Amino acid sequence: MDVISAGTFEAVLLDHIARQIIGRGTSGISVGGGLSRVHLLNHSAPNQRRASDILNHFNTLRLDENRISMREGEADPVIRCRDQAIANDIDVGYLVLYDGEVYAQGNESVNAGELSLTLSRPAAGAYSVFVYRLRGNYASAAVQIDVQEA
Amino acid sequence: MAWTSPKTWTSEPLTSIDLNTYVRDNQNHLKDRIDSSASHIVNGSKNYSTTATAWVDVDMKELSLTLQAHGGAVLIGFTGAVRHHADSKATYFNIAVDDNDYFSDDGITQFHNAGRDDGFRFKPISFVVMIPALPTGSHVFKLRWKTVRSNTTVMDIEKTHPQFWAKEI
Repeated sequence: MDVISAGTFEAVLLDHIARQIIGRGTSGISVGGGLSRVHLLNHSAPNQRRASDILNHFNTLRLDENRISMREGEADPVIRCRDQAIANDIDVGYLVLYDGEVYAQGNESVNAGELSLTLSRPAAGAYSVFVYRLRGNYASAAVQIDVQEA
Repeated sequence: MAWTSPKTWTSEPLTSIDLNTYVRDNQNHLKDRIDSSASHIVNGSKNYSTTATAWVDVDMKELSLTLQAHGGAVLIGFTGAVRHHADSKATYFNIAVDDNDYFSDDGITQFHNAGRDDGFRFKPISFVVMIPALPTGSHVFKLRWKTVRSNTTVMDIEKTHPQFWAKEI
């Protein structure tokens, strides 16, 4: 069965969070035709709810910045989130894409209600840093970081 | 209008009942089948993407056709362009007839490569499949696809325009 939301989200990011949160309960996602869909392998009320939350709260987490432009060799960019939604979270998940390829992924601790992620010595290219809650409403957001050659 | 096997006349009189049955109605039947077609060309500003590893609709509205069949075979065709985000992966294509996948395993055809090792370029995918003798009535045909783990398949609709069609023969 499909859980469907209006809007075409970034496929790689939506796939990542769906597989992290729903695990083997999903066969993947699709976007296009003005819709984003999470495909569930069977009727499971908990997974249906997780998929709905992922879609309903996709890109709703408030980050300090949504786009960073910099040159190689400048100070490492820091992605910060002080959204009230993560105030009581222990950690959040993240995925970093570099020119569309997976560069890094994992979990990061939330300290005193704040998330701080540092992209260490980025090379020239386009990075996308995707941050998402591992519990609650699974809210997420992404930062684009454009790094120009020095 | 149903098809009636043609009568072989010998010396009996030509009646209006026979003319209507064997000439008018059969011609109407053949004409209905000739006229029975549906097609759609997709345009849009956002390509289709999927990571699904089980059959899913490519687009449940734009790539779904309703055809009134008259008992004949139906040809289903698709032409489009596809690429992958990962190397050495496969994408499979299938048709759902009235929401049932026509093939239950890996579908009608498959597509490989067009990932990084191929410059992420879109490559053409095209097929025609014949669905024999569908029951008379309205039928819905949908284009379906699936890929394998760790891949995202993208179908271009921004620069090229896939066509999906059905034609009774």
